[in-house]
This record gives sequence, structure tokens and C-alpha cells, in this order.
Amino acid sequence: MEGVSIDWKILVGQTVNFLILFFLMKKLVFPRFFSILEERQKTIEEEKRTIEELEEKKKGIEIEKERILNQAKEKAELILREAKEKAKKKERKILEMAEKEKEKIIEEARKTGEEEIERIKKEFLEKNIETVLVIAEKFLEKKIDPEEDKRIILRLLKELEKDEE
Amino acid sequence: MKNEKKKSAEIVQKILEKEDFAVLILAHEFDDQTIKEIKKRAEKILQKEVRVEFDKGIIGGFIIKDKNQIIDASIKGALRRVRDRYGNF
Amino acid sequence: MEISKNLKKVLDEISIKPEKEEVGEVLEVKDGIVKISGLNNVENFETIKFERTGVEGVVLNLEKDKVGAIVLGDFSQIKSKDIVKRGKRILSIPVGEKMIGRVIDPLGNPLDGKGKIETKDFFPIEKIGPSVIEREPVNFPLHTGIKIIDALVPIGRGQRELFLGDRTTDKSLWALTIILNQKRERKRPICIYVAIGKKEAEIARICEMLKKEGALDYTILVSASASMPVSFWYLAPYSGCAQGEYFMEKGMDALVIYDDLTNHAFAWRQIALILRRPPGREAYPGDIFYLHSRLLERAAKLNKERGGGSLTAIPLIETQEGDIAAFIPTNVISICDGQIYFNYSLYLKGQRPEVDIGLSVSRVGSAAQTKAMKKIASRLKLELAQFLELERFLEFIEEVDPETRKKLERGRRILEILKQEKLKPTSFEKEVVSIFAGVEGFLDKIPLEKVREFEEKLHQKIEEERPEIFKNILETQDLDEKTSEELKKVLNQILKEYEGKGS
Repeated sequence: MEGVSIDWKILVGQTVNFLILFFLMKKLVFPRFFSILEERQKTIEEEKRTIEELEEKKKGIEIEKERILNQAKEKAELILREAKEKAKKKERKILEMAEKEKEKIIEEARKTGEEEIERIKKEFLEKNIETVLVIAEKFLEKKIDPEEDKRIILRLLKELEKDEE
Repeated sequence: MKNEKKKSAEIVQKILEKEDFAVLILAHEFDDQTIKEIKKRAEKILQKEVRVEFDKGIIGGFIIKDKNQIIDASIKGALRRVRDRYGNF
Repeated sequence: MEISKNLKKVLDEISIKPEKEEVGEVLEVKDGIVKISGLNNVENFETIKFERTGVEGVVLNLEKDKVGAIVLGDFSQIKSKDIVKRGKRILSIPVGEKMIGRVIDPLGNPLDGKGKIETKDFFPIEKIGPSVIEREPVNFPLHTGIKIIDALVPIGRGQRELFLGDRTTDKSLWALTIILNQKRERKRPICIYVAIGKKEAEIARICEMLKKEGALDYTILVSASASMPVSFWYLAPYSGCAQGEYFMEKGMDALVIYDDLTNHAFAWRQIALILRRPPGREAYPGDIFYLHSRLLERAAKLNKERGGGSLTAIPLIETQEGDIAAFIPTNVISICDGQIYFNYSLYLKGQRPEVDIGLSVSRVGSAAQTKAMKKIASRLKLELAQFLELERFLEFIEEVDPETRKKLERGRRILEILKQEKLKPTSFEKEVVSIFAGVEGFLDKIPLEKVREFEEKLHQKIEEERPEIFKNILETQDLDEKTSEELKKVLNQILKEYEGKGS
């Protein structure tokens, strides 16, 4: 290749420059640079750890939440069961009372029925007695003529006289 | 003397007891003879004056209404007593 | 066949013979009181019949040549010279189980429109009470359902306990509360409420209330309303008593409430004045004491030979402006086995029932209390006595020491827990736990206005979580150690809730 040549002075000079730069960088920049990098790395590590911890905590809270929810569910079910039992007991009691009431009503109705029959019998008898007495009255009005009446009066007066004696 | 005193006391008693007579109620208007006989016997029993009244409603027999008592010997009364015995209609 | 047999029997009975009847003649009629001439052989308290109108009467006055009687019905149609016949029987009224649940007048006639009452038995209205030999001491409680009465002024079956107070007090309603409480009693007494001189609307309201609460099933209502003749006012208490005697003689328990005997005294005064009996103090006749004593002596606890039944009497007397030393109140106080005074000024202060403990007493006392009630009542009396004493001193002193303050606060809470609404009786077991809470000091930390709420919570909690406490008290009628401990646990639990709320 024609025209390509290495200038050794510049090369050495560049190399010295590079070395001086490298030396200065190493002394002044690299430590800071690496420490910053280290810090960042540390921060990143810490944040990573924190995130991991939070993740752990979150998991724990979720588990706790689940546990509390389950507990609440169980309690609710227990309350519901107890309420159902109480309601069933009450229902049974009400049914028992209703049954007793029903029997009472039937018994009362039976008694009332019997009483009603007795009452009707008595009324019928009374009406019949009344009819008989009315008929007797009408009959006697016709039958008792003055002669018969006179005989009755004198007999009764005789009875009275005997009583007074 | 004693008898005279008794008699006057009786008269005074009768005067003091105003309107002391009994009422005899009959169902039929008999002849005078019959009424007289009945009245006489009633006066003998009650020992007081008896005045006769008529009421067909008693059907037969008689009722005597005195100051403190009623003697019911009527047919109507007999029927009423039976009615009362079996309750009120 | 049976009918024709009966008809033949009727025809056979028709016989004409002289029948003598003693008669009299009406001389005058005045406000339901009749003067009659004749009837020379009539007996005192015998019935008579006015021939023309068919109305009956009762002979009360036997004079030389005339007889005084009260008319048991409409007297407006009775005229001078009307014929009056002897009834030849002492006035009796129909009694029996068929009367229960009915509203009747003093003669036993139904007033409730439910039809005729068929009874076989008749009891005389006037009767001499059981003799000393036939009685035994009162030993069984009548639970009123009113805490303050059951604890401090207990009533026993067979006792006469007077309720007195002004017209403005609610003594009638508290008496009705006693009837309502009998619904839950195992050995339930038959209740008879005698309304004397009350308005018809009021009697109808009472009847409706009893029916609604299911109390009419064991109650007889005897009504002598304001619109009835004064003779009915006079007979009503004796009629109610006769109803109760029927059950007593059958070995059952009965309770009769006379509401009120002041009107009864007024009625007798009116009748006596018209009959021209000599008037005495306050124009009452000389036998005004006997009017009530012979009525109340018929209440008794019979011994086992006579069936062991009882008739408890609760007469009501109206006082005028709190004057319990007036004529009629003092009469009836001396006849009864104790009195409960309803003080209107306590009512105004908010104490319900307005029972004045200082002026109320029960001469039967703890003999008519269950073991449970006896245990707590003795403590209760002591606490209340101390409280009332200290409260009086408060008027004179400004500051009190902590011990005194504690007693005052406890006393106030005890009085608060003894309050209750009228017509809302408290069951026996609930009474026991409420008073227990008070005397054991469980209410001391509860604000005064929350005491009734605490009581309700207590009852509710026991009913729902520890029903065996109530059951035990009810069955044994006692508050044993074990039940007391259980009760204390429950009370502590409720107290914690209140303390929690407070903090």
C-alpha cells in the first residue's frame, strides 16, 4: 500500500497522552465512576431486595386476607345455621300451637253442636207445650158451660172451707 | 159485757179499716140465686164482705182478691201455673 | 216418643185447685225504689214480682205496715196500686263455667249479644262467708306481674288487698294488668271484673282489650254501667262475688276485682236515703261498714276439707286529693288484709306504677311469696329503705361522701328497674332476674336512662342463650346457688358490652 506510513512521534505522543489520560482517569475519574456504579448497583440490589420483601409481604397479606375471609365466611355460615335452627324451632312451636288451637276449635265446635242440638230439642218441647196449653185453653173455654162452672166453683169453695177449718 | 165490748171493737176495727172487702171474680154471669149462694159461702170463709165481679178471661172457677192475698182457683190460673213450671215462653 | 210422653205429663198436671198467694200493693215508686203495702210474711232479701209488668224486685226494708224494695229492671212502667207477689226465694243468680268469657249484668243476664247462657247452678247473691274453721292461712302467691307489688307488697290467693288512689291514678289499669298476668299462670285463677258505675264505652274498651290479649277466655265481666238503675250498682259486687264463690267451692282459685266500691257506697247511700233509713256520717246509712265487710269477708282461702279453693278480692276505692283518712277509705282499709296506695304525685314524677311504698302494706307478706322472691325481696326492702331515708336528707346537705352517693345511685337504679308499663305484666322469672340485677349492684355502673334498656337486653340474652335460667326459676320457684352464678355470668357479659360502648 503506497502512501500509508506510521508517524512514530505522533504514535508515541498519542500513547503518552493516552497513558497520561488513563493515569489521570484512573486517579480521578475511575474511582468515582466505579463507586457511582457500585452505588447504583447497591441501590439496584437494595431496591430489588425491597421489591422482593414487598412481594413477600403482599403474599403474606393475601394469605391473611384469605384466612380472614374464610373465617368470616365460616362465622356467617354459623350464624345463618343458628338462625335457621331458631327459625325452625319457632316454626315447630308455631305449628304445635296452631295444632293445639285447631283441636281446641274442633272440640269447641263439637260442644257447640251438641249444645245447639239440646237447645233445639228444648225449644221444640217448649213450643209443643205452649201449643198444648193453648189448645187446652180453647177446649176448656168451649166445654165449661155455666152449669159445669157452678159445679167447679162450689167444689172449690168446699175445699177452701175445709182448709180454713 | 165482755161480748159487747168485743163486738164494738170489731165495729171500730171495720170503721178504721177503710174499704175492707174482698173481690170475687167469676167467669159466667149466673142467676141471682147462684151468685147469692156463692157470695155467702165466700163471705163465711173470708169473714168479710165480698163483692162480685165478672171476667170471661178466667174461663172457669174463681179468683178472690183480698187485701193481702189472692186466692186463684180459676182455670186460667191452673194453665198459667203449668206454663210457669216449664219455663217462660 | 219422648216428646209425646212429656206432653202427656203436662196435661196431667193441669188441675184446678185454690192456690193462695200473698200479695201487696205498690204505694209509691221513686228512682227504682218501691214502697209496698201488704206482703206481711215476706222475708228480707226475698224476690218479689210486679204482676202487671213482670219485673222483679228485692225486698230490703221490712217495716210495720209496709215493705221497701229495689226494682231489678225498668221501673218506669210501675204504677201505684200495682199488685206485687212474693217470689218465695232469696235472690239467686246463675253461675257456672258457661259464664266465663261473657259480659253479664248483676242478675246474670248476658249483655254481649252472644245468646242465652244455659246454666244449671244458682248461687245466692247474699251469703255469709266461710267460718274460721273452714279457712286456712293464705300461703300461695297471686302473681300480679307488677314487679313492685310482687316484691314489696305481695298478694296471696285468698287475700283482700285494697287498691286506693285518686281518680287520676291508673289503679283500674293496674288491676287489669293483674288479670292479664294470669294468662301465663299454671294454676290460673278464674278472674271476675266487676265494673260499678263505669261508662258503657269504657266497659266496652276493657272487654275488647281483654279479648285481644286472650284474657277473656278465663274472665267474667259483670257490668253495672252508669246507665243502669242504682239497684244494679248495689247488687253488682255481690253478684261478682257469687260468681267467684262457685269456683272457690269447686276447689279452684278465683280473683274478683271490684271497680270501684266508692260507687257502690254511693249507690247504697242513695237507696238508703230513699228508703228513709236514718243518715249518719256523710249521709251514709249506719250499716255502710257492713255493706263492705260482708262482701269482703266472703273472700277466703278454704282448707283442704272444703276443697282448698280460694277467692282473692281486690277492691278499688277512689280517694279525694289523696285523703286516705276519709270515711269510706278508712272503713275498707280496716276490713282488708292490706292496701296499695297509688300516689298521683309519684305519677307526676314519672314513677309507674305510682305505688307509694311507705303507705302500702300487705298483712300476708312473705307468706305469699315464692322462695326466689323472698330471697331478693328482703335485700330490696333494705336497699330501698336506706335510699328513701338518704334521699330525704339530701334536701338538707350539699355534698355527700362516696359511700352515700353509691347508695343513692343504687337506690335510683333499683326504682328505675321496678318501673314498667301498665297492661304489660312481667312474668315471675323475669321479675326475679331484674330485681336480682338491681340488688346485687350490677346496675350501679349503668347510666340511669339506660337501665330499662339493660333490663330488656338481659331478658333477651337469657331467653336466647341461657333459657335454662328462666326454666329453673320457674320450675323450682327458687333462685339456687348454681342459677345465681349463671345469672351473674350473663350479667357480667352484658356489663362488659356496656363498658365497651362507654369507652
